[in-house]
Amino acid sequence: MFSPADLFRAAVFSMGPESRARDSVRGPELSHREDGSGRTQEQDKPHCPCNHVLGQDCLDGQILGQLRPLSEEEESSGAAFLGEPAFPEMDSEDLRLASFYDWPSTAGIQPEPLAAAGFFHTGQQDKVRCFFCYGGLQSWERGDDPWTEHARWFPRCQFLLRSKGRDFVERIQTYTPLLGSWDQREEPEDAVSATPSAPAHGSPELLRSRRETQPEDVSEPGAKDVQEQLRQLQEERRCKVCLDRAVSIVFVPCGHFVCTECAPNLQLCPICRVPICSCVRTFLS
Amino acid sequence: MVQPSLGAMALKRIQKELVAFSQDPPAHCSAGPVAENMFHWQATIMGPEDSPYQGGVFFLSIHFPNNYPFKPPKVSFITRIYHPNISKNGSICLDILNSKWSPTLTISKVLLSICSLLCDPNADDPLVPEIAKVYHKDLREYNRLAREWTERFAM
Repeated sequence: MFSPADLFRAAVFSMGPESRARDSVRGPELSHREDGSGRTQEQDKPHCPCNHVLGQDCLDGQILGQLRPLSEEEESSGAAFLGEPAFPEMDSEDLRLASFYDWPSTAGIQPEPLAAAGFFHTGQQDKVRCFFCYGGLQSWERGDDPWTEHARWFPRCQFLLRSKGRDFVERIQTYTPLLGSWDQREEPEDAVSATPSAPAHGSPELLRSRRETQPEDVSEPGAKDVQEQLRQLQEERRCKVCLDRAVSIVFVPCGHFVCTECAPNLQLCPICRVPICSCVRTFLS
Repeated sequence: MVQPSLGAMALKRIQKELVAFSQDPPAHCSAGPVAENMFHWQATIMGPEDSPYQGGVFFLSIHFPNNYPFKPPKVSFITRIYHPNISKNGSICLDILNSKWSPTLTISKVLLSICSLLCDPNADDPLVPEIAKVYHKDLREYNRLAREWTERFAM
């Protein structure tokens, strides 16, 4: 039940470090915000399995970086750039709350707790960003706690640490399993709150069913696609005459390939029937 | 010395063709080795629709030479058929089985070409001039005779 939401949230996760890189330069930061939103749109539109697989690989790296020990945070807490919020104009909770003017009514959470936890609405569906660390989250479910999600995904956010304390963040992190099993996280609060709400509301079930089906559709074509690519690569390198060995002889002048065993028996190119002037040994690395 | 090597190469190629044929047979065709001899196959072609051979089942014999695929296989009809490019003893006048053979061609493609030949005879280069003459002069008579032969020999 939670894995689809995790996948959707992870889809936006990669925006985090990019925004941090921009913190050091304020001027370009303004223009980059639009680029950021543009990238988000690009991410949403194509549902290519390959991209999804690649995205997952990148995300694993991102999560590894994020889940490093908090001791590093202590060392760099003195750095000035970490103390600067990514969106200073959203420092006010009232202004953040105002950004939710077109918050979708179907979202599983109200704007008030989101604004209190440092988030403002990006204007797209139920996507929000922290004004301080620029961390993005989406696919909110009924019963989600913004502070808990903030601590789970962006434990190094200074606003979070100042507001809730290091102990709170560390406690949330201990409940977050390692990468291999983060689809099976056991969060008592979410588990308790999610169960009663499911029978009470029809629309959450629909939303959940959609989330559950999409990842399955994505994963299977991805696997098949990889196998198909592998088969095509093997086919390209196989001799078309014996259908067995790898090609390593190229004919002059036509440029077609055969293997070393078949080449001596041919006077015409088997593919285009051009007379063979000479053969050149090649090595495909 | 060279002969056994070529024979081994031919056997391996034929085995691979058999696997590929089984996985993806062309429409209206079937083929496989006779008894245990991989160098001797028997094939069947269903008479193409929209042709006078419709409804007929035609058996063909395929013999692979020891230096296959560098030389073409010998394909001939076992079932008698009224066609300007196919003789009484089953020989097929098809360029890819003779001068235009290429080692990249396979039995699957050869059978497809024969199906195409059944639909569109090449009466300008006939193997049986009498049938070609009928084909040119009286197409309806040609269709009637082809139909009659199909019903007599291929059903």
